[in-house]
Amino acid sequence: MKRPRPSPQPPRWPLMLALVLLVAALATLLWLRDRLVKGQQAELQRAVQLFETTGVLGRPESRTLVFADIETNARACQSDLIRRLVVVKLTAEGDRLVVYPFHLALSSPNWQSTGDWTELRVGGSPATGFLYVDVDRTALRVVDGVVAMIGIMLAAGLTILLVRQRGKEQQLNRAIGELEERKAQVLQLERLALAGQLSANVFHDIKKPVLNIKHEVTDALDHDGAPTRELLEMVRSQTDFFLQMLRDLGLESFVNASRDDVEWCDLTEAVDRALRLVRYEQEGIDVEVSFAPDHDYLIQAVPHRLVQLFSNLALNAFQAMDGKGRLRLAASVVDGRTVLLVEDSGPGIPDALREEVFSPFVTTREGSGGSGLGLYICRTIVEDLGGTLTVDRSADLGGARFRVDLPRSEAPENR
Amino acid sequence: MPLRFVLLFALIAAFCWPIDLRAQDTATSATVQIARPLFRIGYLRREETGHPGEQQLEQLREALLADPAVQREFRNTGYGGIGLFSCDGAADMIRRLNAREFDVAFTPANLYKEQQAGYTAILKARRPKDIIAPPPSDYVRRLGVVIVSPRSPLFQAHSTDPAAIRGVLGKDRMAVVSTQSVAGFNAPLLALARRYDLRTFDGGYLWFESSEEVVKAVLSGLAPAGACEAGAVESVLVGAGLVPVGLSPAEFARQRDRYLRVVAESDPVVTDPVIVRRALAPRGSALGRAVRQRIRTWSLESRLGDIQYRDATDDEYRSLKELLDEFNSVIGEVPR
Repeated sequence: MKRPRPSPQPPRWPLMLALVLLVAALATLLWLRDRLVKGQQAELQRAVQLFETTGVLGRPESRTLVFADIETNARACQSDLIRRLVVVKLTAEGDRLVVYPFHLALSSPNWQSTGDWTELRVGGSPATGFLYVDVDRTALRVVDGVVAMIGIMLAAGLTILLVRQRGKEQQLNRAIGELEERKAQVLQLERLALAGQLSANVFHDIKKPVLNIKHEVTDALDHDGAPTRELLEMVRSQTDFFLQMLRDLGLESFVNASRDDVEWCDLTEAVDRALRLVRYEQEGIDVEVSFAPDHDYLIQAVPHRLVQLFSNLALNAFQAMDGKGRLRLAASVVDGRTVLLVEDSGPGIPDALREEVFSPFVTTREGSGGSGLGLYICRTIVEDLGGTLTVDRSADLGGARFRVDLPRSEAPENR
Repeated sequence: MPLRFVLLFALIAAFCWPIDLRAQDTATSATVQIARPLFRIGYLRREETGHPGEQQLEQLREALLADPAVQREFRNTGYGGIGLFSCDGAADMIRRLNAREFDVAFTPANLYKEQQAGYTAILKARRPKDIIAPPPSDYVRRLGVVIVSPRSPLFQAHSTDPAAIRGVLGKDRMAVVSTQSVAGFNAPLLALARRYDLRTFDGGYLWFESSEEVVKAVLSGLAPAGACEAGAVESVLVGAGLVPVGLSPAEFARQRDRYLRVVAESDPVVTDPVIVRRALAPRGSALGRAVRQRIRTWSLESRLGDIQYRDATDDEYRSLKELLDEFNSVIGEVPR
């Protein structure tokens, strides 16, 4: 089911640009506000200094003063900023007497409740009086209002950004969920594919002992009909191999054998068993097996996996040569690694397929019964042993040459 | 003995030396004419409101110098210019009057009565709130009052009982103006003594520079009571917008009583004069007449801060001596 695409959101940069501009405006306004506040403080300080330096309020114990001088000072303090000024004299008795405007206490007894007064102390210790200043804070209020407005706009912008971000996160989560679902589906499909592949593997491998038994028994019947001991032992061996495979039908144990099954194996023995296993396809083909002297060929592996490896390689060669040709298996030790070359005189593998042939279900014998799994299984076994499996053309025999390169295992006596 | 004669001769010579040389150490603003004496005008540097200040007197000097009659008489009498001389307080003024240092002086009335150098009054100050009568009497008098603030118990009590008033006012402070103001100081305190037998104040005196300042001190609560010129009460209340302009005396008193209470009022006293040396008395001196006329017209033209000058005679100030004598005998010297 195709999901509908989410409706496209407007671009984010205009909002970001607006937010940046708002922040810049906010910073400018805060700077302006700071200037205004400092200007106000300086003007108030000047007023206090004027009254202190002229000493017009006298000392607290003196009730004599010159109203004209106070009025002169008060007029000097008036400005656009200081709208109203009230001068209060502090007496020794603790009375606070309004001396400017001198009639304020009579005409407006509640004058302090009629404005936004700032109290400023005049004089040192003891204080001689106070100035009550009604400061014009219109500009400051305007700035504060604009700052608040910009703050609200910023908050709104950030909220929008957060909401959009949350929306994107939700979309992403949905996409991740869908991806996980698809992944699970793919995994399921892969499992199914693997099951099919394993089934093919099983078929591919158990086919060999069955065909081998059939071939040997048919051969005996064709000659004298009496079963020989050799025949019977071969049948028992093939049957054991068959049963071993059935035990290994578990998924992991088939593809990746358990470490518990690993033991010291002799490659010579494994090669011999493998060749015997596929003898039913050997007719008309010369087989040479050589192991370079002065080396042991012991490796740690699951024995039947080694038989499986070499039987696959030998069977591939037999089938490729179609009853006529040569097969050479030569083992040696090169640079501390065990190398086993399997060469044939068949048609070889085209260069373009030399890597592909190790993929499952890829075969060069399309239509002639090849399952395309043999080489895939071989490479899996070799890689499980920490080695490599490659193919090129045999210079001597002209056909394919498989190179099994295995790390040397530490000898048992050295353990 | 010869040395004594020499010193006496030197003293007389110094006194008679051209005035421009003597004026150098005291003149605040003077046009110096070499070898010709200055016409010297004296005034108090800082007195209560209503006296002409230095700026106003500078205008007067220019007006006198521009007046043809004054110019003519200056040429006749040998004056070379006009000098303005400020005095640092009453004592300085009296000392310099007694030394005949000034040809003309703007002086408080009591100082005029105290000087002994034979000056005579030619003009009297008239302020808007003074009591006047139309010519030919040309009566100009001024009242003094004692006021109490709304914070005083007397304000609400409306009491006229002498004992009650003595009990309140006598135990507190009294705001007063300079002792050089007859109408603002001597007359109201004398009225208080006459009416309530109240002569001293336990809290002492609070000194202010003008009657208006006294009114403000009482209104602000700085002083519980004060003595001042009556006109200052109205000018302060009107100036502060507490009482509207142009009320009838009865209506003004009713509105005034919302802010102040008058507990004593003096008899009318003569206002501050402009005095001249006896030799410049207008009846015998053309220069005196020209100067008096110029001051009158100038004060009328410029209004001189709401002060006008009306003709006066020396006789008008005789009653002043009686008032001051009574003050001295009833109250005595006031410590400052």
